[in-house]
Amino acid sequence: MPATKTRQALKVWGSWKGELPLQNLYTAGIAGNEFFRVLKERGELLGAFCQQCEYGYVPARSFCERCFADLSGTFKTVSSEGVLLAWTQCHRDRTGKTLKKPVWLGAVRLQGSSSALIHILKVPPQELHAGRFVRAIFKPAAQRVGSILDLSHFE
Amino acid sequence: MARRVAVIGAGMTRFVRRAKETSRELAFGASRMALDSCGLSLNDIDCVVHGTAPDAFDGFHMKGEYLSDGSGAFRKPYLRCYVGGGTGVFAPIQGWMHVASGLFDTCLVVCEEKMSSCQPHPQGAFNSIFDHTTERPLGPNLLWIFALEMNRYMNAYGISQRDIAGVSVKNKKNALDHPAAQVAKETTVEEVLASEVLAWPVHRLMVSPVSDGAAAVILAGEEKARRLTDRPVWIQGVGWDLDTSYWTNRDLAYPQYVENAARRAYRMAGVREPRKEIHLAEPYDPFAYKELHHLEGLLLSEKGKAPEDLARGRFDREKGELPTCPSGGLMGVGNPIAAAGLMKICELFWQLRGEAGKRQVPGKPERGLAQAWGDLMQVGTVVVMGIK
Repeated sequence: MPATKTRQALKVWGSWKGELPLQNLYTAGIAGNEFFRVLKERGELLGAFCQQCEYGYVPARSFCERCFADLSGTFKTVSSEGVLLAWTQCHRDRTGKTLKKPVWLGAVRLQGSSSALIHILKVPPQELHAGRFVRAIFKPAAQRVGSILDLSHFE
Repeated sequence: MARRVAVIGAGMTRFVRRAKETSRELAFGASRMALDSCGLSLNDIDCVVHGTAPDAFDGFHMKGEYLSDGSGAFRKPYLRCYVGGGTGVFAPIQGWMHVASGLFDTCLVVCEEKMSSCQPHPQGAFNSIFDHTTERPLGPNLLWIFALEMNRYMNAYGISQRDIAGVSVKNKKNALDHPAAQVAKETTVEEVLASEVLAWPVHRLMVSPVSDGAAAVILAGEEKARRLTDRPVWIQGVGWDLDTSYWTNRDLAYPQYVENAARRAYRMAGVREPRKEIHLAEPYDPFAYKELHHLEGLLLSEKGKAPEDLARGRFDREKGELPTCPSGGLMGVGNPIAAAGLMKICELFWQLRGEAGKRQVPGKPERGLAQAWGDLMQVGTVVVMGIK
């Protein structure tokens, strides 16, 4: 922090404000690039499959954490439908403030996947129960940018 | 009495400016290569030690846990260790403890760093290591500290920048033979001295680069090691030591903490005369002067005399009496912090097995040393390895 700003910050004797001034340029990676390319271009979800462990990873991963097999040759899209494993209704944001409207989050196991995908749920609250079938709703192609938010929500 | 522990496999990714792989994919690449090098699978690994530097580099907290899948830790005992830049040589010491204690027969040690994620520059991650009240308002970065330490070293012994620039020339040249090297180059003292001054007396070509990469080794207890390979490379001695956390209160001209760490490692290895009994060394060289500074702390050169030894070719890979950084070191191969230290352990493994290819030190070396340095620039970590 520059000295001038530090002096300004010394408003309360005995303390001053500081920060860790960093940004990050995150890397999607070998599997991640493919996952987001397919999501953006085709509005589909890409998984990776380990035959030895009989385990399907969504989003796709380039290796199996269980046996260390290279999975880069196993990528294929999975169904956009799956089963709701768990859900929550959230009332506070990450700064502790009350949300104007609650947000629903769900853990969804897509057909063909062994892992769960966490995303926003838009299901009538009275219909929320574990085991319910849900479907992924994608943003229109023109609005997709290659982000996990290209998947709008599950309903 | 601790069990004997050997390194039986090693692997590393290329060190690059910005890897297209994620941190996890980098860790996987090195781990898989280390396992393949000794014909083991993940099932054969009893425990995993992971080494990685500040969480801020990769941009997420709990980085050790985040990287555990690429490090082969799925449903295994797992430990992340971190002593800043010293991590790469400390992680194998942690692995050694796991196996030497008898708790585990095999241990995968993985170090990874992805510095390119950190914007606008990884130096920003270091700003917060300085005291928030007395130092941070000055806006320091690591280069400032190293420039002061290098200058102190020069003043204490009458050393010139020219004396130090030879380290860059030697290491960048050695790295030309390393397939994973990022900044290998044929260069001259004149070119080093003509490169941009970043913080006098430190020039650009005296500084290691920002890098992404990973390295891994497989450790095994004696009985297992002898079953798995006929060429185990033994960890003969380990040592580490911490100086004051106030860098202002340290002897900047001489790294006493490195000497303390080295003496521990030598004692354990039964080394009485390091200059005769250590046949090659991989001292930590994030800056050109640090290699010389560290060689003195390691008792491999007289205080203030490492530049003279360098000038007379004592540290040359082909003809020197004590080849140093035959890999090319951080100055040539690159500096993905924790991975760079473990790369030095990999190099000892390949050199002592006679598998270093074009980089092979002549004369069938039997014992080598790797050292790293870090924390708040006050930790020394040392491993002595040998074929007996």
